[in-house]
Amino acid sequence: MRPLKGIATAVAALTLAGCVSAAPDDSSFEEKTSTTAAAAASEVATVRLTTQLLIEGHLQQNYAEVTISASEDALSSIAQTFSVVQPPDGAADQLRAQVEAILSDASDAVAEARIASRRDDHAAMTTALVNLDRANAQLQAAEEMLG
Amino acid sequence: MKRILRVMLGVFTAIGGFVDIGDLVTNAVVGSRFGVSLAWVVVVGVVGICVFAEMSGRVAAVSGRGTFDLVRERLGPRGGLLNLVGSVAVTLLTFIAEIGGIALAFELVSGVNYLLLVPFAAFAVWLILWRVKFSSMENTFGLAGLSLLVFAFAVWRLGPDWGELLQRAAHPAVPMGEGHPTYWYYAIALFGAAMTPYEVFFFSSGGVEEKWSRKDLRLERMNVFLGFPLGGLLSLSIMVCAALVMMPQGIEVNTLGQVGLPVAMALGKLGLAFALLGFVAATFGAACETGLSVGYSVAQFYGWQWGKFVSPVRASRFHLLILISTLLAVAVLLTTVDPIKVTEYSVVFSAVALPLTYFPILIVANDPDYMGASVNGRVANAIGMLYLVILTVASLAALPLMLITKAGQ
Repeated sequence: MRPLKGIATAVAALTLAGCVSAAPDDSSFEEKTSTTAAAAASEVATVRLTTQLLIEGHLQQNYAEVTISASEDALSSIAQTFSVVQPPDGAADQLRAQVEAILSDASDAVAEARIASRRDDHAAMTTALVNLDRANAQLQAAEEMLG
Repeated sequence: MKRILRVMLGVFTAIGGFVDIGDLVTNAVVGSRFGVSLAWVVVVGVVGICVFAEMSGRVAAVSGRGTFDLVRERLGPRGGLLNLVGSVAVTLLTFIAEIGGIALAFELVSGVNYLLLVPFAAFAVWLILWRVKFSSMENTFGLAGLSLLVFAFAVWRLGPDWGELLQRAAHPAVPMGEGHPTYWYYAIALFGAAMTPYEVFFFSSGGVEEKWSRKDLRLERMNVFLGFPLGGLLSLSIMVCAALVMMPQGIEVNTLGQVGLPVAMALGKLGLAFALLGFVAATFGAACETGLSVGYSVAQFYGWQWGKFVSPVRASRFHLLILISTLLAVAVLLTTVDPIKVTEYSVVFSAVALPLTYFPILIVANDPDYMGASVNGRVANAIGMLYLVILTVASLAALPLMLITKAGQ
């Protein structure tokens, strides 16, 4: 029974360890943060392009909604994955807080674009474009600073 | 006149049927991340598929038998079984990706979540495979697939600097921010997408379905040597669209919706409607081809009656295999696995399985007992051998690169 218990403990430990994405040192944490910023910027840029095309009448409503929703889901997944990365020290805590704030702004801007596009509200979509541009600029700045 | 129309129909369906979900996704992903620096891989892949599709079509026309029928006879049951398992596993994965692709395309049209559409898409594919005549199926989806030409029009409307585009394609370089392992990983994925194994199973078995003989060899060669390269141009157009629109904005393509955005930008709603028709036709056509290819491969290997040229009741095991494959595809997709991820893995695993598919074709096409006077010539053999080396290198490198790059991240 003892070896079985040992294996079970090891499997449980590995499973639990897998729940938190490890980042053993500063450079690894910065790399993960940079990758997160780049992936999030890609989703924000997609929503920006889609919203722009919808305003210009170049896109069917359903197509735009599906594309924006997919990017919103992807952005949410990116933010969630980043939130479980273990920061190695106090300096990393600060970086983590900054990037989480940027990701939160990006999520808000994307949600704003989604709501406006579903209502076919061109004025709100134009406002959303400004916020998407701002979020994208912040994400790109974060990526360039760490990349 | 009738002959010319037949040739044109064959070439058009070969063009329209060339692109599938793997080509759509991989070319767009590559264009958005690497620009046109991997365009050369499409050219290499198209030459390869032309060489081997011509060989497999010639084998079918001369022998009147399907690929796996001959593979088992030539390699023996054990060697043949290894080929069968590898090839069918990859074809099944591609079949799942194609059904997921149909659901994603209809989601873009209807706004209904793709998971709700998966069972309907699968049922429609199964119904077509069961009821619709082979030539009707092939011609309808092949011709509808021509609407993907809208990507070529979009490139023209986007007005790129052609000189710079050609310069970048002719002098490939790894873009900033991307590593060499990732570059080569996507090169292999693109190669796998262009040379997907099911294409030759379907092409050669289709030849038997349509009762090709030696006198059809010229038509078969025109389909391959005109249709496939023009189909390859469609793949390149998708890549160039992504390179022109998505790459400068830092957008990395990971959904089917993103693939169509450059067309909407260049040609508006009408252009996008054609692109959507193309998505549906390409995925539907390829789902039918992969579904049939699973049935063809297994039935030919075990010597069961196969094909749509006989009624379903006479090829019951063949149709049962298709039904089981369809149900399996639905079950896998309803686990909520991302169909785009399935597609990305399917093209890489296609690359892994390439030698298993193409090596036996080269052997059979060289065997005078089967081929008589239509045996491979020196040029076909030289190119075939060269490609076998490339296929083997790609196959061996695919999985290590997948691990090193975390599947291209």
